[in-house]
Amino acid sequence: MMRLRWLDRTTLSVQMEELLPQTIIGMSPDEVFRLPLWVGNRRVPVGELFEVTSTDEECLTIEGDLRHLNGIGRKMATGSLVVRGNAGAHLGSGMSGGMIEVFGNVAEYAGSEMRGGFLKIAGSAGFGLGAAYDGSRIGMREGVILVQGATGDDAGFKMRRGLIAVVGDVGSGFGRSMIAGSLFTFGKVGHFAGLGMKRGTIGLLGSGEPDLFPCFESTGCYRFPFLSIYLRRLATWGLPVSAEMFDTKFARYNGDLSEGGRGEILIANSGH
Amino acid sequence: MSPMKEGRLVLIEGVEIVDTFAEAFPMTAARAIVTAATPYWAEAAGRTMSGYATSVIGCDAEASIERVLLPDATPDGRPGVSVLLFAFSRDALEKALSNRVGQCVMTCPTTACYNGLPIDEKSVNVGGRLRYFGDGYQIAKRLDGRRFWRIPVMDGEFTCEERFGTTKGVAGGNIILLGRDPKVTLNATEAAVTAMRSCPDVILPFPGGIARSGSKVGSKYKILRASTNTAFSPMLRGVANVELPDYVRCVYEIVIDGLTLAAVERATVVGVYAACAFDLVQVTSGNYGGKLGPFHIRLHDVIHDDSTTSVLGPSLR
Repeated sequence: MMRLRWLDRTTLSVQMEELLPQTIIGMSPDEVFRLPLWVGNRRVPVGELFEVTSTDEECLTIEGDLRHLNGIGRKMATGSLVVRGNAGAHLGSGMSGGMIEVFGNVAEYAGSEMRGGFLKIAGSAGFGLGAAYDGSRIGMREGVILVQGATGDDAGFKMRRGLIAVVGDVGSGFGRSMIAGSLFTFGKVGHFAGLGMKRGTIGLLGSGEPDLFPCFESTGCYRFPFLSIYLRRLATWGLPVSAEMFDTKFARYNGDLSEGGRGEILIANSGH
Repeated sequence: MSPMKEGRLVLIEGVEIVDTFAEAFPMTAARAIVTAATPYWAEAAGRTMSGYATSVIGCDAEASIERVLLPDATPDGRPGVSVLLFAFSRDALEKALSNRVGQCVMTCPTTACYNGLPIDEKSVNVGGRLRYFGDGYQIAKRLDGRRFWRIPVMDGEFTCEERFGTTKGVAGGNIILLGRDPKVTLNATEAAVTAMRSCPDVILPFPGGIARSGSKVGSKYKILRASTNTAFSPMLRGVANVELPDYVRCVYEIVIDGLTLAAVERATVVGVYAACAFDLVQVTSGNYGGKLGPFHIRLHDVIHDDSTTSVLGPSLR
């Protein structure tokens, strides 16, 4: 497909949602070169912003310092997109299919309101990973997000379905107002995890005592067969699942009781 | 041990292999993977689930444990067993599977139950039917297109996969062992069962893998669909049309259900060779003149077929 190398010619915000694998498939480098993108309040051809080369790879690759590029892979439906470098906000938001692999960090709202597909981030993610936008009723609806680094606040906010796994620490409000789905972290978790959650699973696989909201009821420790299935899958995706985790009992807390209490927070190695 | 052919007479270790065929027929099959915290409870659930499931003549399905599974071969990394079930239709299989998982696996301590066949449009709903037992507190989890239901129970939760794949299997394969001495005949049949149980994709649904009350179609009593196999009942000599050599005193049958015809043929060969290590008179198969089932497993053909006999270890060949 294509490789786009960022030429670093502007510090204005560049809107990238029109440059997707599904839109450039079959295009020549010249055609891609002429595609207009919004830069600030005007349209600029891709060729003025990127060096465009054709490659034998199946994926669209975008590389460079991409922090001013917002909406990379936004509403992507199919294909494969590789991002080499730190990316701006809204990466993969609303995507419904395909795969985005980021070798770097991403800013806020990555994978927000995602409806399908696979988003893999080798670095860290900012605020609102897989979350709902302000005013939206539902966040992530389907798909998988894997983050090797840490995430900011409100990851999984109003998540409805799908899976988010974070290797590093997560900020406050992890799974806040979650409706359903599965959230996992191998790191430390911030305040108010699961606050207002209706259903869904938050798995805290790392060590340490989380600061749980009082509206969670302890139900004892269990071994969950379904969790082993998830852990095996996470291991195949390269996440640091240790052999001990499969034999670990998890403390289960029902909550948020003020929202019906049908959600759960599972805590490993807690000694509860 | 290789078969000796003299005209139409085929002998293995001096045991005659009768030139006949087993008549098998298609049935819809499913595979359930039952896991538990310990091998004991996995096997207990598997055995209970496959109880009263010897023949569709009188049961809702034919079922048995296919094999024991080590933890690394199960979806949740716990010890388990795989159970094969066969029924006449997909609807019948769905009902039998749901009932058996619900009554025999869900009730068993620490268990979970998963699908063991590929999912396609012919899959049946199992966990999706059992979830209502959770009375609204059940939880669905979906991963890689598979949905699992977590149903709260008194020792924690019962996990059951929603859909189970089905396939057109082959049921009614069989070998019949004829011997002079009942003890030797039973030993030979037990050895055959042990060998056949090492074959993948097949079950031997009768008790211990062996049927002693082989049946024929029909009866003098109109209420019965099947009745005792008079032709192979040594005690009926002189009063019925017994087709046994004079010196045969005991007959046992091994019925084979498999996911494929090749699997049933493979088990047939393995069973024949294992049985022929004992002092038997004949090994034969049961059929209905070719009118009932489309699959005809000819003993002479399968024991000479390299593609099926190749599974035999050196000790058996």
